[in-house]
Amino acid sequence: MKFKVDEISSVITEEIESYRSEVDLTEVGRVLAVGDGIARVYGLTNALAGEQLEFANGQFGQVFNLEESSVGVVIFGDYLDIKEGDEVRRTGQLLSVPCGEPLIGRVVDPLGRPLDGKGVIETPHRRPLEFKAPGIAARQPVDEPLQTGIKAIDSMIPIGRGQRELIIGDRKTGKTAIAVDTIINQKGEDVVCIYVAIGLKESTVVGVIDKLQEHGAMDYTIVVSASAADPAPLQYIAPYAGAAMAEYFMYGEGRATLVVYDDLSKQAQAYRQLSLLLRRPPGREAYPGDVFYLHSRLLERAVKLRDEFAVVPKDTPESSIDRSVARKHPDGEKAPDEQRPDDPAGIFHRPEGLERAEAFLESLKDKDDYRVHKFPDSGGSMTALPLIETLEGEVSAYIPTNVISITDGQIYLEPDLFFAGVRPAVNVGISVSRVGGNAQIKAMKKISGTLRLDLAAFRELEAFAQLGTDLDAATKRQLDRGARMVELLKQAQYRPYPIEEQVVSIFTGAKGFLDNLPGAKVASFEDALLKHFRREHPEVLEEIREKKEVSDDLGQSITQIVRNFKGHYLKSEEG
Amino acid sequence: MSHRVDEQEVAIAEVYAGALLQLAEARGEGDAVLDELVGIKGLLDVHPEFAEYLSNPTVDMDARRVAIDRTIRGRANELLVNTLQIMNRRDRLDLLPALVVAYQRELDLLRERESVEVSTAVPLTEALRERLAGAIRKMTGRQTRLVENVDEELIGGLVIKIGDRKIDTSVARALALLAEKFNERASAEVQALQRYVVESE
Repeated sequence: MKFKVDEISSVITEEIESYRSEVDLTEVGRVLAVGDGIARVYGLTNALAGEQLEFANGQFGQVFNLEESSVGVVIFGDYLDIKEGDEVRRTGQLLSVPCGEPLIGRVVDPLGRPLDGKGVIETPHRRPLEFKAPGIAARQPVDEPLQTGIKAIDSMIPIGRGQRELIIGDRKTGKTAIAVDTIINQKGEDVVCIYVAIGLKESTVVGVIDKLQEHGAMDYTIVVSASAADPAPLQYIAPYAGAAMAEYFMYGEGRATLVVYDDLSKQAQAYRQLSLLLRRPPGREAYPGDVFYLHSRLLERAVKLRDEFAVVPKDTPESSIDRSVARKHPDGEKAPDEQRPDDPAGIFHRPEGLERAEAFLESLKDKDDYRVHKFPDSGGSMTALPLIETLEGEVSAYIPTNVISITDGQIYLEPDLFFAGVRPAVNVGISVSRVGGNAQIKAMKKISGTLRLDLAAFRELEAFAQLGTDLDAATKRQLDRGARMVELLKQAQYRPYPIEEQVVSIFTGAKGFLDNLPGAKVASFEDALLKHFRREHPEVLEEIREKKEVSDDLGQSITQIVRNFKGHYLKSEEG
Repeated sequence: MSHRVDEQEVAIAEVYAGALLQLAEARGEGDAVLDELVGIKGLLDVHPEFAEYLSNPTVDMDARRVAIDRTIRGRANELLVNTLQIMNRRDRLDLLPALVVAYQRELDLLRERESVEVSTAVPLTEALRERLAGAIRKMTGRQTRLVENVDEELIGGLVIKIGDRKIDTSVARALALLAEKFNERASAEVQALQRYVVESE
């Protein structure tokens, strides 16, 4: 093997020639004390709070405390070879992370450095770690579903794009499993997913990545990992890094994004560690006083941005984000309500903005030269799925109550349900989604209407069933229905259901077709039924998928198909 | 200055230095006291056992007081000796080197002088020193006090530290930056899958 010496030396010569010797002017300080992932630095009188600093050994740090003659710094990495007296340089910039398309499919640390050994990540885009959440005017109510593929959730605790839904429960109740299934279910939905692993065992993270890879989810997912072995400062910033990466797609390309924070309890612990080491006063449970703000500013960044429309010249390209070409209404403020734009520049917002823009277009004499345009960088969203671990089911502890009050609903997972075989172990009675029906397609809304009530009634009557006393027919019916629905809502891991199959499945249960089947047979019946639909009646599934609702006619044909199938199924079971 | 003084000690010593300076200035003896302090520091460097005597907590305070009076009073500024006695009473004599640094800084502040640390690979010539002082004076608009340091590892060029700011034009730094550029270029070439190898036949 020979080296192309000439080529190599010409590259080197090129580099040397293009080297411009510049006067290197930096602001420096000196390390006074270092240890436990933090450092005290003397000097740096002009350092900004939250600024990124560089140590002599190449490690990065962030300014955490500004004191009279010294600065408290957290170190993002190995601090063992930083010595007292070492020089610390200001970078003049607030902490930022690389973001953009090249990150998709990669596993990175919270500073964007690759961890998967697949080479350097080249991207010109960076976003600041801390970013002010958009105000009221820039938002739009959540009305698009983010399907998790999990029947129990999509039917009764539906999640919308732009919502924050907390997944809370004891250890080993299936929190991560729900998040992973949701990510897997986004295949083909043009949603960029980001999984942030905070303080987890490296082996667990590898397991998750493996599963995502197996189901093709890494094609649209970024994994940000600050495992238990990583220093507390990295665990502290990991969720913000994930949010920043999602914001690139949301603000820049108007895309829908999903960020999973697994889990925020560990981030709070890492933050507590840093705050105590840097002598910030401890509060309840030794957490610093701003631990609420730690989570609220993170979760407020999850939004549904408003769509923006305008009437533009017909030849404006579809991808244009130039708002200056928008046609302004001649009457400005005095324009009739049904045509008035939302701002003086002629931009229409909020869902009805589309109708108003179209009305305006119609009113123009030269309307053939114009069209209604949706700016492709508007209308993006970030859905947040924070995970919190409770101890012994204690949801009134400090951190859980904080995060519950911030999010738009929570999914409770209980160990009792888990061990009773109800998996996912969702307690639908106390789980809530504050966005609710607005995030459901009409078809699902219709059939899941009575589901929650049926299950609630069932739970109340369950106690009686245990007594084994003679029950009246109505009660017995409730119990049978409830029990079958509970069976129906059980689901295997890594098998998210497309929404049309969920609709058919729950429709079958709600109409009572399962009531006379033995409980243990519900799962296999459902499986066989859906197989049947897929093979023999794909047009039914197609119609639900496209029209998003179940008309009376369609309802009747589904009923017929199920009835027939059940007949055959029972016969083949006997035989 | 080859030993790095502990900043936390200097922060404490500033208390004594500030008081001493105020009194000395009132008598017009600010600079004189500094010279004497530097002298005492020099003495301690040459006679480390004296430094040890001053800072060792097992030495009887009273005995020390008498010793200081006998050796230094009359040979040094009265205020300075008093300060040393107070420090002795408070068991703070181990801060003497820090006191010198603190006093120097306080005096610089008072005189609006900028303390500038200059590191070079070879010692400065008188001509260079003047040019440098002039240039820095023009840049900061204040009087400067140059603290010179020789560091062969720089190979050539200058490193100037003014307060927090550092100007590095040394050859060592240029080489380090060049090395970084090479590393970046190498990764870029690898990423672009360029091959610099001739396959063997």
